[in-house]
Amino acid sequence: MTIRRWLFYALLLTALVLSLRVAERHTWQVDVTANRINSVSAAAAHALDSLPASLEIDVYVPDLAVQRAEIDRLLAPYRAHHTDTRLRFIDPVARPDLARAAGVDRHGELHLRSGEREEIVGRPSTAAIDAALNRLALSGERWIVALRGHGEAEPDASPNGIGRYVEAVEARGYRVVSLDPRQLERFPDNTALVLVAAPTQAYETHSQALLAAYLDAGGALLWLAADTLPPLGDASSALGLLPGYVVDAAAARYGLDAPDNAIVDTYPDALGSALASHSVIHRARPLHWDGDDGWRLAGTLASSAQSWNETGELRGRIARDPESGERSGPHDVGLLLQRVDGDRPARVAVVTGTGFIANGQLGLGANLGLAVALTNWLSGNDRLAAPEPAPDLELTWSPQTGAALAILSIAILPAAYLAAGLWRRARRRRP
Amino acid sequence: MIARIARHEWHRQRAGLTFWLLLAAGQMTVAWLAFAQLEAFADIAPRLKAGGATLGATDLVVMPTFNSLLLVLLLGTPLLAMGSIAGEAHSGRLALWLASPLSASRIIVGKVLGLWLGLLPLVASASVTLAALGIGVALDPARLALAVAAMLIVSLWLAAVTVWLSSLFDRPAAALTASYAVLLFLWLLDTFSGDATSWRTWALLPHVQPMLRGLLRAQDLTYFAATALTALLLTMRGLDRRRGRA
Repeated sequence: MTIRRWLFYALLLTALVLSLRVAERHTWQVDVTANRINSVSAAAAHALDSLPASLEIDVYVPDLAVQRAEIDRLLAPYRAHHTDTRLRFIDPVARPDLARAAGVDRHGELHLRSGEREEIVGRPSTAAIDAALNRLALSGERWIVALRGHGEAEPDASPNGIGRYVEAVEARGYRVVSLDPRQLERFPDNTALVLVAAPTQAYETHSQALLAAYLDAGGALLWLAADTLPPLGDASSALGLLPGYVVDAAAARYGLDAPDNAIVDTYPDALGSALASHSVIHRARPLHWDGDDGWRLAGTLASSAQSWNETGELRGRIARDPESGERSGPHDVGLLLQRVDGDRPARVAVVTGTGFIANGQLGLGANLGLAVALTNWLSGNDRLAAPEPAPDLELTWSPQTGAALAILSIAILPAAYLAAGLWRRARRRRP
Repeated sequence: MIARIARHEWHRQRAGLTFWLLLAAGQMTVAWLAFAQLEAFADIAPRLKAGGATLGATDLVVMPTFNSLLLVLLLGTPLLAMGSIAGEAHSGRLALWLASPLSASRIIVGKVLGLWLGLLPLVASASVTLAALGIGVALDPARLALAVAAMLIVSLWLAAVTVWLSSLFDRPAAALTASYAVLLFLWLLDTFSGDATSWRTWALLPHVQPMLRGLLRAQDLTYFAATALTALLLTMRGLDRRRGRA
């Protein structure tokens, strides 16, 4: 009897252990999240699909099972997505010659190679690998040259600075450098894009000639226009500003009190399909583009139909006055232009306003996504989508609704449960 | 007959004040934590948005609160379960159950389901509270549904394991102590061991966290099904042995 009993326990334990082992080795999984956060990110998937050659990953880690298993698990989704991936573990202790030749600084380093390009990930993590893959996939130049010296927004953390934009694009594989055009003879060869962030002073002849030559050579320019417009050579006269600032009644729908916020909620195909929300362009100026044979209009960013160009004071109660030349919207507040000729046609994006990529405005609506999409389009990396921000970053209920819900669930419900329990007990004790 | 035993067990739970205290305290704890975390989230949300963060309210408020609900269930279930068999043995009513013509499997499955019914109001109340946050934040509904399903699965698993532990003792206090020891050990097991150690297979959290992250995995479902089934078989075996001795 005792043997049968122990046999039962032994068989039960064996069956339990085996079932758990089999389930671990031959598992399946379903990612039910809307953003597919448990799968390879959209940005990494695009980067992997855009790689010029097969992907080789060398992992410099000692022969420690746990560390290697962790890295293997981290890389599993990437390898599953990009089957043309070769993974090699190299023990820097056993093969110091290989580690020295590769310039390995620390254990656990990842060296990602595709064709001639190589990226190194010092501390492996999903974000670091995604950024490295983005850099590997980026075609050609990688620098964003932010011009300075004419009152442009600085890459700092002040509300009017563009420090957050710089962080966002650098996380996606670009490098931002700040240069004064008066001290340059030409832009660096690896310039992917020149950024002119709302200059307050006009560019002198040398700087204008520098930009014109850069565009003639097929360059890309992101121009945030407060009052000045980019030099487009012969086509400069085709581009102009209408009087006044864009006032958009649609801003109230998104909880914006100030009337001088243009709401953009449809985007040109050139910017991809990742932009699902509205963007906010503060103190936007209405643009007009008369067309030019040398340039093609690749898309526009327009305010809502409820907007107009207000030429009067933006104070108190305002209304459109047609007699002052105020025209009803939609108004173009941004233009995407591309040269018609050339092997590598120049691209220019003009967005009016005081800088929708400024730190104080980048968090409004889909401004960050718009900034990254424009950057990608201008630098010719259209296929590289930005990682999608979480959809649940905004609290939309009123403080009263929140307070009512909190009181109901923290106080009223527990009190009701307790009262029900006490009432039942009292009823049971009643003779 | 299983349904009748489950209903009897459920009525027994509702008749005691412990059930209502647990429900009230559990609801208050979960709601308090949810709104405290929501307040902290509201403070940092503009910065998260400006930085294009990939973690939102679902990750930073709702799922951590489901994790807290799991701890409440872990601490509350043994309180309800200690009476299911150990309590019956202590009061002498177990002899009546054993003398009945009912099979051990029916008694045990009925008791486990009855205990599970006793846990469902807390799971439902807390889940509705967390789902109500969806009025103000665009929560991921599929992920929320999987998290609720995870709580239902874990509560059924807790019922099976604690009824088994209750069947090993004749005193409710001993069953309660053993349940806390085993469940807290399983809760903490993954913090003692690394990611790749075999012990991790037995830990509770590595099988719950993926579901809270929105990942439904066969190995997690197998873990709960296999261990709960083992607990049921061991309880039936134990009851049969008691019956043999009687």
